[in-house]
Parts: sequence; structure tokens; C-alpha cells
Amino acid sequence: MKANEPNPVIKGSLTAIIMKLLENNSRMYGYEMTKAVREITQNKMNITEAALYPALHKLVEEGLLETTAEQVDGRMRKYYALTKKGKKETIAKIDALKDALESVQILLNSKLSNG
Amino acid sequence: MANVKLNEQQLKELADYIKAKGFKDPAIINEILDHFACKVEEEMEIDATLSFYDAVNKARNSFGVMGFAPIAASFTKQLRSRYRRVYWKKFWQTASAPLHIPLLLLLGYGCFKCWLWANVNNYQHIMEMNDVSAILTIGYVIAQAIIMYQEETRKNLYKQTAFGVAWFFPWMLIYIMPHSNHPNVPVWVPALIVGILVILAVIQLIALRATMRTAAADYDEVKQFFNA
Repeated sequence: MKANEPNPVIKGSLTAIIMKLLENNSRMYGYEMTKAVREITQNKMNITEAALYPALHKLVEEGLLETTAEQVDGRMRKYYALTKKGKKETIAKIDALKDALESVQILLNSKLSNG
Repeated sequence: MANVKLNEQQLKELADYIKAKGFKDPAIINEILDHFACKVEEEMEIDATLSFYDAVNKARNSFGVMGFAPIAASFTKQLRSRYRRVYWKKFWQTASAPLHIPLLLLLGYGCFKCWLWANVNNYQHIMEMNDVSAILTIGYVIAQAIIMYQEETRKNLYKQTAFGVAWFFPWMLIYIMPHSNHPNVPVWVPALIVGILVILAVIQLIALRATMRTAAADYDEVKQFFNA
């Protein structure tokens, strides 16, 4: 899969990825998140803008993230940070993602047979 | 982070580019601009020979086939959801406040009695409507118009969205009033409906105003960046 193509697996776990990033970095802006994911995964994963911003807006809507705006390099930069509720939810989301990944791993490693 | 930094003129060109794509509201432009600018700066840093305009095209392609549309749509959706929450919170707060309950009931009862009184005395000067109905309907329309005027509703996305989420059930006043004097319906029924609608209309107007104030505060917070 090309780096700029949306990966459906990543899309499904995007919320957990965003929350984990914010747990480690206290506050980040959108572009910084996409860059961090690319750097951490050595360009194996790419979060597209079309997936990132709707996810961020949804998390704000749910009260899991809060935003602050600042003037940086002549333009408005919006920083996202976890709320108290978001911090609690992060643990649950990451645990759920780990469980799902472990299950997938077990499935991929087993010899699947039908009947 | 990128060492290349866009200058004021280049940022203006990016803002104009976003506008040219159909996203004219400053709030939406601000929402997209920083990410777009970061992306352009990154492209210019990766390839120092790349012109600004080529970098813009490369950065634009990274937004995918839908371009800026998903960002704009989800931003508007988030605003709508925020103002809907503010509106209903204020609506129930107003309706359930211990001081408000007797006042609202008194207001509703007053309108109920006035409507019956006007009906008995055959006060029907506007479109054969009970005059109390007509006055209340006009009053409601004027109150809405004042809120729209004071809050300059059309001027920005925040206020437009806030006004859009308000619950306009009391507009039924306008529809029901001309039909509220039906001969087969007991006379207290339309009077009761008028009383209930007036209570709802007052609560709705208070909640609407509070929602508009929240939108105005949100707008003020980001307004400083609009001309940056």
C-alpha cells in the first residue's frame, strides 16, 4: 500500500492512535500528528487529512479532546489536548485496540480450517 | 519541524486558494490553512528546487480526491453538535429552574385567560384571528428578528450554525393561530394551546439567545486570527 493511501486498518484504530499520541505529547496540532505517525512508523503508516480531522472533530464533540488556538508563523494553529474524560478513555481505547490486535495476531498465526 | 517558513504573501495566496475551492468562511479557512501551509513548507524543504506553486499543488494532492471538503464538513458538524448541546442544556435549565416555573405558568395562564377574553368579546381584527393570537405571533416574530439582528447572524459560520440548531417548534404559533377558532372545538382548547406555545416560545427564545452568545464568544476567540 502506498504511503498516501488511506489504510482501512489504521482508520479503524485512528481514535486510539490520536489519543495515544496526545497522552505522550500533552498537546499537538493536526499536521504534527500526521508527521509523528510517519516518523514513528518510518513511513509505513500515513494518516490522511480526510481521516484525521473528522476524527479529531468527533473527539472534541465527544468531550475527549479540547482545543486551544495560537498564532504561529503568521497563521492560526489549533492545538488538541486530552480532557480529563479523554485521559481516562485513552487507557480503555488502547486496551481495546491491543486486544483486537492480539486476536488478529492469533488468527493469522493459526492454521485456519473450515469445518 | 520544517525550516522553510512561508511569508505573509504566500500565506495569503494559500488562503485565497482555499477560498477559490469554495470554502469562503474565515473559520473554515483557518481550520485548513495551518495544515496546508505546514505541508507546503515540508514539500519545499524536501525539494529546495521546487517552486512555491509546485509545492502548493503537491500539498493539495495529499488532501486526496475530496480535497478540503471532509475537513470543512466535519468542522461544521462539530459546531452544530456543540450548539445543539448548549441550546438544549439552556432550554431545560430555563424550563426547570424553580424561579422560572411559577413565572412561566403564570405567563401561560395569563395568555390563556386573555385569549378567552378576546374570544368572548369577538376581538378579531387581523385575518379573522383572535387578537391575542395575532399580537403574540407578531411579538414572537419580532423577538426572533431582534435576536438575529443583535447577533448579526448572517455574518459568520458560528452564529449561522447556532441559529440553525434552535428548535423552532413555537413557529407553529404562526400556523395554528389563524385556525384556532374552529366551531367544533371547545373554546378552551385553542386557549390552552396558546398558553402552552407561549411558554415554549419564551423558553426557546432564552435558549436561543444563550446559544447565540456562546457562538459569539467562540467567534471572538478565533476572530483575532482571521486577518493574519
